[in-house]
Amino acid sequence: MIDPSLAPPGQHVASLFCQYFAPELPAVRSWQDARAKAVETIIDTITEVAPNFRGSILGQMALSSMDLETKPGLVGGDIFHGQIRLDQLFSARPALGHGDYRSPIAGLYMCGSSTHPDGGVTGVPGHNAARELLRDRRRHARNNKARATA
Amino acid sequence: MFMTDPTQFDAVIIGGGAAVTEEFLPAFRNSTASYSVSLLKPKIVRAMDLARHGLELKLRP
Repeated sequence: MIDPSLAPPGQHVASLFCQYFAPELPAVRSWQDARAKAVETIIDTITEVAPNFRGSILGQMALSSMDLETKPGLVGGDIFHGQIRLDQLFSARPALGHGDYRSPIAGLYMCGSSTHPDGGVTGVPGHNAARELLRDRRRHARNNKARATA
Repeated sequence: MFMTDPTQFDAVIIGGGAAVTEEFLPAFRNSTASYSVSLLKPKIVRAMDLARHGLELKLRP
C-alpha cells in the first residue's frame, strides 16, 4: 500500500481498467441492465488466476461506458473524447479549423483530451490553451493601446 | 471584449472531470475514472506550483 489514505488499515483498493466493451448495446439491452453481468464476468476472470479474489471483495463500484457518459460527461464512455487517430490529431483535433484551443465563441477556450495532444492526464492541452489565451490577451492589450493613441 | 477573470463551468457537482478522486465506499477512496498520472508534465507541475496546492506524487517502489 503506497497511499494509506485510500483504504482502512489492512484493506486495499483494486482498480480494474477493463477493455473492450461496446459503448452501445443492441437495442433491447442497456448498460443499466448489462453492468452487473459484466462485473461478474470480470471478477470470475480474475478469480481464475487469483483464487481468493472474489472472496476478498468487501464492496465495489463499477462504471460502464454509460456511467462514464452520465457522470464525468465522456460521450460514449470514451476517455479520450474521440479516437487518437492520425486524422484526429494535431491541427485536426478536435476538428480541422478548430485545432488552436479557441472555441467558436470568442473568449471561450477548449482543452482536455479532445484537443491536441489528447489524453493521458499530461496537462499539455490545458498548458497550450493557457498559452493561446495569454497570446490573445496580449494582442487585445496591444490593440487597445493602439486605439488609445490613434 | 476580453474577460480577464476566467470562469470555470462543471456539469457535475464534483470538479475535476474524469481526473477526480471519490469516496466510492465509506472509508475507501480511488481515482474513479483516471488510471494514470505518470504522463503529467513536470514542467507544468513546477510552473503551477502544484505542490503548494497539495499535489504529492507517490512513486511505486
